[in-house]
Amino acid sequence: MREAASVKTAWRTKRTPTTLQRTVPKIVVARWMSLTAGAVVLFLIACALVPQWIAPYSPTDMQADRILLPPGSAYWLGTDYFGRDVFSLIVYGARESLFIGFASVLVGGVSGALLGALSGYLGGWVDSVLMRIVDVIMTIPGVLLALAVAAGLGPGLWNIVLAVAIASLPNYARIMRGQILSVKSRPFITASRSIGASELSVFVKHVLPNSLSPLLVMACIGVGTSILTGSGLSFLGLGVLKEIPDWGALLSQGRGYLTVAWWICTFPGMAITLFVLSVNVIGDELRDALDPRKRRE
Amino acid sequence: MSQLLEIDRVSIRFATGRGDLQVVSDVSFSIAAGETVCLAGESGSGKTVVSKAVMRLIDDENGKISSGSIKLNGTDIAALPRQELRSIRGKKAAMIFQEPMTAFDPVFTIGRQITETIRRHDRRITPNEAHQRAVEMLRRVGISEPEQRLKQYPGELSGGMLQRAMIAMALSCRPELLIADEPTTALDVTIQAQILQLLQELKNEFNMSILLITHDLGVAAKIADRIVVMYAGQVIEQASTAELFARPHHPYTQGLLQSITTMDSDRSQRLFAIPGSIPGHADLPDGCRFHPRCPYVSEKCRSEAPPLKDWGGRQAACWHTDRLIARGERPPAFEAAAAASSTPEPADASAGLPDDVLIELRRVTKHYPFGRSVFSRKKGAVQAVEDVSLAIRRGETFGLVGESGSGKSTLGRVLLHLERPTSGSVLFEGRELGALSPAKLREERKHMQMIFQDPYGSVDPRWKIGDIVGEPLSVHGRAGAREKKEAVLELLSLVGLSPAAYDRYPHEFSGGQRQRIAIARAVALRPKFLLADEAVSALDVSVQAQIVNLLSDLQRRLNLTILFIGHGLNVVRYVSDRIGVMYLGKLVEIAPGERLFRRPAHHYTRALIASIPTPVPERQQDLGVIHGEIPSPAHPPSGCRFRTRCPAATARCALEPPELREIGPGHFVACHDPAG
Repeated sequence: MREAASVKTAWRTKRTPTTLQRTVPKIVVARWMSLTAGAVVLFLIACALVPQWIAPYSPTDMQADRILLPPGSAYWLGTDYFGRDVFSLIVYGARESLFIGFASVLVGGVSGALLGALSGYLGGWVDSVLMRIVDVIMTIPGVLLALAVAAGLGPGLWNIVLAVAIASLPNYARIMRGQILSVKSRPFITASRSIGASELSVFVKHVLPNSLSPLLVMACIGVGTSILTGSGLSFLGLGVLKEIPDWGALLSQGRGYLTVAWWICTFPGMAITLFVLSVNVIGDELRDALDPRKRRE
Repeated sequence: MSQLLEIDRVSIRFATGRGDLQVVSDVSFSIAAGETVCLAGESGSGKTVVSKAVMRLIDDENGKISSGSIKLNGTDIAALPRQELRSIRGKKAAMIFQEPMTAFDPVFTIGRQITETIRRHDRRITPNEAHQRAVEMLRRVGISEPEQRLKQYPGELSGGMLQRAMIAMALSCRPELLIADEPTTALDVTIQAQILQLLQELKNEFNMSILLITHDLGVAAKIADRIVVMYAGQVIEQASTAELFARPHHPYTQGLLQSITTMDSDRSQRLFAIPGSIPGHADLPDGCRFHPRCPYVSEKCRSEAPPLKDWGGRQAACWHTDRLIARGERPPAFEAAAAASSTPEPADASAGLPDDVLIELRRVTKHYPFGRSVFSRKKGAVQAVEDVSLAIRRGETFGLVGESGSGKSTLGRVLLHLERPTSGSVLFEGRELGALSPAKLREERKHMQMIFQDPYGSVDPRWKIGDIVGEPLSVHGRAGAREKKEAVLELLSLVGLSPAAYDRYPHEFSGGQRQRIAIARAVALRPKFLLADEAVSALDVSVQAQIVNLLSDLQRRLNLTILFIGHGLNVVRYVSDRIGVMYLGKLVEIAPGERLFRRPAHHYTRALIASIPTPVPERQQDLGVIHGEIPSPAHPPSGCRFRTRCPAATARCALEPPELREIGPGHFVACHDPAG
């Protein structure tokens, strides 16, 4: 508001910078936190895509002479009880973990948002029926639900993704519904209707874009929790048994050695934390960048 | 007189994400014991910040008093440690707020909140005594059945009632200073008059001082002894109320006074408006902060800030005060006021118009049923609009007034068929809107557009101005991208916005500019009918006049028919050819604008007109305030709905609802015993 009042004078004195001109310097001088977060996420994505270029050793390479070595110059993050390099394990494990994280958020978030949006916008009996279903799902703890789904579907990567997605779906649906309800009653929606815009165009052009940002933030946090839930499932033996374990499996395998070799489960845990944190920071940036009110220097 | 509050060269800064922002600079004024001082100014002038600083409430909003002192009874509040503030807050100085609805905690009863306040400051008072005192206070502020009210929750009371309770709570510890921040802005004119009168009485009775913050100089004229005018964080003028109104010493004050639409504003002339809008705190102009909007501006004003100078007991901060005084003229608004009372009643222009009806309501009723859920004990319907028939002629501006809860906005929405009437029909150019298919209705919407009250909420914050204004064009599938852009640019210039606005977002504009955007969008399809629902109510006085002028210009140029809904009677009178008065869902009087104000027939209309605060101190008559508040539309009184508040009610009024009948040319009234 305060800046707004000066617009009139600004027109007279200086040329208005375009959106691009205003956004680019922002990227250049972005706070170090966002930059670090970006670097971390990029690095982990690189790990997921081309682990062989990054990892110094093969993750399956077991050697009896280097069992349970503490972090040092040769093995940066130490070695585990099979003599595998922890750093290389983390690098190779990134693929599976990241996939579970992103894919389940995508599936759960999109379908949850869709349900919530339908429910909130249409109201009436559609709303009642959909929300009661969501309520029922919500009464079951997320991990338990994922466990049940995974157990029912049998082990497999996609089944884990599906299990985690279903467990997270009610939250997205609830949030989206609340957002839609509040946006729906704002005057500019009535304004749009009063000029004769059709329901579909009001929904797509006004209601949806104004409802998405909390969902975006939630989805970013969701990537982290999904990785953890996925890890939990693989810990319980419902994951895919492979020679290259994901981060969750690493964590659970190292748990027993916590007193003698802290590094085995500490570093995969840190990888998860770091990744979740970074994604959240990026999520915040993304939300700000999508909001025209904050898109200024 | 000793000074109760002395504010000495106070500057206030706020820490924001983009560094410190100085919001108030070098403000000094004082309040004597028993005096009412009004801090006046538009939004963004810093008046509320100053009032909050007196209670140090700005501490909680990242604000701090960066220099100067605020002495209350000799104690410097600015230097007081936080723990000791509590002994001042509530006890020595108390505050009432603009929104009585949100100032109470909704989960506690009124009684609990008041008694708690009393006991917090004096532990020796027993709960019983505190309760007794609360009952007394509520009775004193004019609340009936105080024992009952104390047991109620804030949500169960009306706005006016809550504001009274708020005053009772503020006064329960006998403060020496009462700070009232826009205490009546959220209330209806009739309630506003009641509250102002109450404040006046209480001031004398409790021997306290009042610091009143308001943007409405009419309110200031009514109860203030002295007025301090603020602009962009500075005091630019202070004087006694009579002196300030008689001869403003600052061009801004002069402009403010002139831009007030009064009961006497000449309808044939454009309203006076100060150009531009108040600058933001982040980029204040050099020199005098008012210079970009000032008609007296000179080279000196651009480079040097004028100091607050003494002018025989009053102060003004302007390099050209001597020129203002030398011209020796009373501001034109007042000349008009003097002249208007002698002019004969003008022939009604609207009476001569052909009876070409554009839009017609036939016995329209709108009920909102409630209590349909299984758990609710009460069932019924809010009777928002009850059996209203009305015809609006092509090319006229029809004004609709009434208190909140009278159903005027509902009527507007039904008129545009944004809501379906419960019964009755709406005819637009003879076609019944209710009978049209959804697609046909959307097509018809081209011809009827709407401007909303809230210029912040009525545009999508994520859209660029160009898209917002162009949306109606895209919806109705006109033209290609280039033609559309041309059309939008033309619209922008039509409403007085620069083409640079095209690629900007709504948040970059002030309230007045956003209202211009909303208007540009509304006229994009060259509609025949425009509904302006409280379109200027949320704007500052100086901007209000700009928008009203714009609307009248557009009406002439585009040959629009306008339904103007408002609660500012002065503005409605200025813009409207004919005016309808609504009360509790019923249309109680319709008359040509001038005639309605000169010869109001319904007792409610008379009360409404009497409640308007006049911005001329000498002409403050003791207002014929009507008592009580508008009853709930869920349980309207039998017979005439106004009878519970009517001074002339008889037994017949309770039995027989009065019908609208003609008592003069084009003058209809629904009253068994109309006045005058």
